[in-house]
Amino acid sequence: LAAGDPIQGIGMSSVARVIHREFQRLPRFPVLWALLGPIPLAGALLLTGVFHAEVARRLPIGILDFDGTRATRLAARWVGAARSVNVVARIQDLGQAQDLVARRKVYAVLVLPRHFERDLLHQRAPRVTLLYNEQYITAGNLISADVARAVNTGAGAVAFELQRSRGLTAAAAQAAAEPIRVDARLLFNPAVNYASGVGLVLIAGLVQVVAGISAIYVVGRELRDSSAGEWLEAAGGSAAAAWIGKLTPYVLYDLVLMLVLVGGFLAWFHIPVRGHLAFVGLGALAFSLATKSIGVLLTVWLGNLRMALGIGSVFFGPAVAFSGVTFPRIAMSTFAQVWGGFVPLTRFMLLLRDQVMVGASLRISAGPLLMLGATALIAGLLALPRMGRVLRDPRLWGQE
Amino acid sequence: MRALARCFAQTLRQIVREKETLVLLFGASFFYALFYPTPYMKQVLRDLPVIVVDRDHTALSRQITRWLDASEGAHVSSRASDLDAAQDSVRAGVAGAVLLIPKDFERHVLRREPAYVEAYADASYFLVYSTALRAINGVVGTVSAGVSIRRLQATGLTDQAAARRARPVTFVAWPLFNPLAGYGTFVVPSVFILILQQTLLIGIAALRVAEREADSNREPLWAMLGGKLGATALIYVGHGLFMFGVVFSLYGFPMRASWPDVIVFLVPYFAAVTLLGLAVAELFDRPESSTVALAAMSVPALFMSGISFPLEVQPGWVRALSVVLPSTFCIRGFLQLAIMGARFDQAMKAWGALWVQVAVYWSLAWIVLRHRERSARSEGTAPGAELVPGS
Repeated sequence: LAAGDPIQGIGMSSVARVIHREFQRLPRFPVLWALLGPIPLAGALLLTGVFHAEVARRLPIGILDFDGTRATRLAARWVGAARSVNVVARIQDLGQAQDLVARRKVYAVLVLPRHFERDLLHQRAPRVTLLYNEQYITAGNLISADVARAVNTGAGAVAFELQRSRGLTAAAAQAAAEPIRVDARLLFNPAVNYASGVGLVLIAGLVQVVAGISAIYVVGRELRDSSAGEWLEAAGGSAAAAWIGKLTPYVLYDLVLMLVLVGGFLAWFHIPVRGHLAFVGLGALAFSLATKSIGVLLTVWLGNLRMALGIGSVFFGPAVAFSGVTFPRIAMSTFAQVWGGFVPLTRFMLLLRDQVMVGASLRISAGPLLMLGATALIAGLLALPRMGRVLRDPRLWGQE
Repeated sequence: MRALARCFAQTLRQIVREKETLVLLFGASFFYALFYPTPYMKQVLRDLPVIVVDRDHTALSRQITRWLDASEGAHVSSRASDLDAAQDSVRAGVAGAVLLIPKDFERHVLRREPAYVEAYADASYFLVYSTALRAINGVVGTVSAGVSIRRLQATGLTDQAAARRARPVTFVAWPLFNPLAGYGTFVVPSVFILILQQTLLIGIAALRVAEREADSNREPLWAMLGGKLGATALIYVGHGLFMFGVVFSLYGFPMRASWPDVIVFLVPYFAAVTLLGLAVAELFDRPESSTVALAAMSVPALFMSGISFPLEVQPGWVRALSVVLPSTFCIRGFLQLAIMGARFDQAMKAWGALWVQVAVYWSLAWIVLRHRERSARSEGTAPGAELVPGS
């Protein structure tokens, strides 16, 4: 069979033989089996557990009341009723406040000053201070926003009463207390659900690690074990059939894994899909192809399983940080923006946001889909010159 | 003691000799430490594009637009008349938010009727909506307070009295430890701790598998474990100094702990991870298997530590499982010491937990390695021989 003419060799039977050989090989690699099945399942389960509550409520805070009057107790009750907080400590002094914050017993301390009640009655605008732990940004921001709202509402009620006492109508009193208001509407994720806001990218990132590392492993193992010759033989000498047969089962598996994990996650948290599910499926296929191409590119050029795994982990491991979901790409350094552009997860998350959360038109999602296709194509073309050689040249085999 | 010194030196030699372990245990942490923080160098989101739909066209609406453009978080990327088109831009991810100033807005304000502006923010990205709303609320709040003060002044109050009357309670929110809410300061210290765990775990497991195959060890078990602990502690204290000293100052992250405290705190962490790595190495048939099996672990491990979504709202079973990982306690305690400026005794709970892990994983590694030694001896073969086929 003409080794130089791969087209001639492509037949369904040779591809099928390679696929068959692949299935027979699988049980011999327990770690690959673990990577494809139990590891992503356990990871997805843990992440589902982490975000189980969806929104953070009742986070522990302390109250340091220097005044101890009816007014401060009322203020403490106003704040304590806010959704994000749970008053777990009545604090005596600033030293104790420092200690509780440093020990992570509370995320914040509300300080009500001495003479609070007197100053309030004399309209001297007493100052209420919230000290909050901004190292834990999620908790810190939730608490500070909620406590600010509670204090301002309380203050607004006081101002309102003051104006009313001057004989204004309720509406006029409200307008006088706060002349302009912001009516804020949160688009696409009105409840600020962390499962869809943060959890989703972690699940997709997990799938990318599995897809990329498994590609490197299944190809790199053939080279390391010097079994690439057998592999080509099973393909009837056709390099094209060898590669198609090799990768097809794993591409399809990635697709299933992505749809099961993302679908399961969305279903568990009752996150509605506002766009086209079929388009997400198409995106997941392009995502898998792009990830596989990068894995193959690394493996065939490095020719060394361990080295390819190492570089692969660097590329696929921190991908979430570069994807722009938790930290927007427009705020990133140029280097990180460029790097993130090559990471399939970045494009796939745009598509997932558009089609799951936003319900955007397909025209908008066509961009990321094309970019995924282009990534697959470019990585594939770069790998191509080497893809035939690694199958035929024994000098490229057996490297530790 | 001499056996311990021999094992220590032998481990170091082994690490240097094997290209893979050298890369994992030396190169990887070094590289990651410089590479990982690159997305977060600017720390915060600035000048987020916001579209203003001004249907009022008055001095007041123009003032709000101008002030919003001048705010740190937002910049007015365009002025539109069509709300739907503006919202489409948010949908497409081109703009982060839309501010709608309705018709007759200024008239309502002048007539002392309730006046509203509407903000539509993209909450599919948390940092986008929070930055947009903070900017809009800040500008509108300032304009609103100015309006009330002017009204009260009109009734004959002094400036100061008017300002106090307008806001009967002053609220000050004081962020601690990370005052700019920098995303890098928030995430990088924890990720560095995690990187140390992942590279050490994967590296030591690979080393152990290679060593098992070579069957070079004739030293007593305690000395072998001790020698490994000494070698990894030496290398990883070096990594710690590089990450939390050099890289932290390079990227401008805060460091509020003294170096002796940091080192004393990290030593049981490195020991626990090393022992865990030696124990899990038994699961692997080849040195590279540890990379394959453990590469996917880092993301769940980071989030189980509770730095992002708070620990207090994670379910009990997740928290129970998280105690297995040394990173869980090390991240907590390290943040306390290095970022929050806690005294060592205030981080004692995390440090104690790490020592418990050292004890548990020492026993585990001991049992596993003893079992391996015995079965190898009884079969009279090299310990690598009964490995899974395909190796």
